[in-house]
Amino acid sequence: MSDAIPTIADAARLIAAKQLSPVELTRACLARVHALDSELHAFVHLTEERGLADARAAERAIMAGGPSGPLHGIPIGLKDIVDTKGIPTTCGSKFLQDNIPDTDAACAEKLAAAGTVLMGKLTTHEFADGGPSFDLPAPPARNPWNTEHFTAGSSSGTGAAVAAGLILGGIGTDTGGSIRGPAALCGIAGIKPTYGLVSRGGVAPAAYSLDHIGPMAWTAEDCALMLQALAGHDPRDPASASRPIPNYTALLGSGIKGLKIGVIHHFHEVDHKVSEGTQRGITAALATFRDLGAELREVQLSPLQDWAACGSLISITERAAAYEEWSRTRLGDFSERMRSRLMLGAFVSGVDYVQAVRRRRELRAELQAAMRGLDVVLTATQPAEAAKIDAVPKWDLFEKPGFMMPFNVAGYPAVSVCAGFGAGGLPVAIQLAGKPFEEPTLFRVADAFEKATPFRSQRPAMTSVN
Amino acid sequence: MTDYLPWPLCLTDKYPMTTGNEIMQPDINDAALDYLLARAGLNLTAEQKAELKTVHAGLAAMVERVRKPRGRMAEPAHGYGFAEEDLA
Repeated sequence: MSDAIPTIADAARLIAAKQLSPVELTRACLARVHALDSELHAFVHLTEERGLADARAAERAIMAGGPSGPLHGIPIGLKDIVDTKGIPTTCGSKFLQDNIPDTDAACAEKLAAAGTVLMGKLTTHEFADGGPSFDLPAPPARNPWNTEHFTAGSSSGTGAAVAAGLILGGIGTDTGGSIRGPAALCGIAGIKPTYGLVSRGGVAPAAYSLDHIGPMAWTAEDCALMLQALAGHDPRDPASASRPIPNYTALLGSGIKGLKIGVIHHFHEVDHKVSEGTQRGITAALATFRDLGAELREVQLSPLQDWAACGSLISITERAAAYEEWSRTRLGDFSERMRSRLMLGAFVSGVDYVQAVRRRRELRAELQAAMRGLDVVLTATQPAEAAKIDAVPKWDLFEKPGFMMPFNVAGYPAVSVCAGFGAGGLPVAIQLAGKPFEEPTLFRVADAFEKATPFRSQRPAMTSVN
Repeated sequence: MTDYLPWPLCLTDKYPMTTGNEIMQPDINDAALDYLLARAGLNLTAEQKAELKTVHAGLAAMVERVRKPRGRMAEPAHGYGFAEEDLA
């Protein structure tokens, strides 16, 4: 096979045509893992034997009867807060170094049923929060575009592994941006689906009412292919939605002429002004959408600070509740960053929490009203290119509000896609959010953008020396 | 068709509002901090306590931001739909 790293969609087509062997594809990914991961630290647990066994099984089945679907024989990885039967699941924490679950999380089960090849467990911030931390059992993941820089988190390993071609797709989780943030800084695509669309069953909680599970991959199309396998009702998740699952790739390639895109200019131009490189990416993206025939409209919402305050208070409190017992008895065993977040729980009263959840209802109603007549809304994903990994502020929560939390607060689906390269050649991104359960439209817009721009043809330089 | 505001915005004219007065002071003294930490069951070092005090104002600002004037009927966002399992 060629040295080029295929997308899931490309690999699926080649596998179906019997022009690409899942075993060869897996070996190519493993070769990149062995060449690059000592620098990237994307994997905390490589399941090489399992991966090769999955690949051989896929190959046999495909040779006998063709692929069962587009993920058959595709190498993937799982964030290490996703339970995996018989495989260590540490949540990046000292607490769970010996934890070997006896069942698979729903998302792991669904990807296995789709015929994927499990390459291993991927680096996460401790219990999907804080980070980057240097006082955990495993080092933080590094950004493949420049390993001195941060990946963002908490799905840091998934972001790094996909960008460097160690896997073709992976699972991330997102409580306030943990899928979209690393997707943006690592130059890939990542979607936080509608709340309840993908089961949280068997995935360690960060904040129950804000947690989402979703795919990260090189392209929006690949995310759509993965979401097709992941979506669906699961009684193990009390928030799981029970509704028909559409075809997530059905609208790809149909163009976006006439679609209405709301631009939340004040988020990234006033409330939290983004870097020059990011602003250039957004401005160029808006021109691209206009050229593709979309109509752009101005959208005004409550200040980003309101959304951030609401989401942060809910997140701080739910996390403190989830990890209360260990906080009381073994606080010193958490990483410094996770410990700091947990300590904040002491400051939030029960009434504060309920006021935040009341505010949440108002904010969600506001977004619902603002999106009437629109197909998607657009803002930044990250305020700037990736910072140096040793220069990420510990209390960033109180500095400037993030762009991703609004869609966790609302539960609306949101995707991050690469919008070019800024300072230091590091990726910049745009974020598109859609209406609940309207992921097909979101993918339609994201895919049209990726296909109209050249950014999917460039991988991190480190991958070409392999 | 009447264009109406969605719940809970539709209620803002009908019910008495809270004032949105500041509840949480930006600074916290040692006694208050010790009380809150004891209540949470957290055992912190003096250094950790000092650091936590430095971010109290940031948290207080967040708390104020979610305390908007609203009627007592404005419900939280918690809500659970019934699934097939509930009917089994």
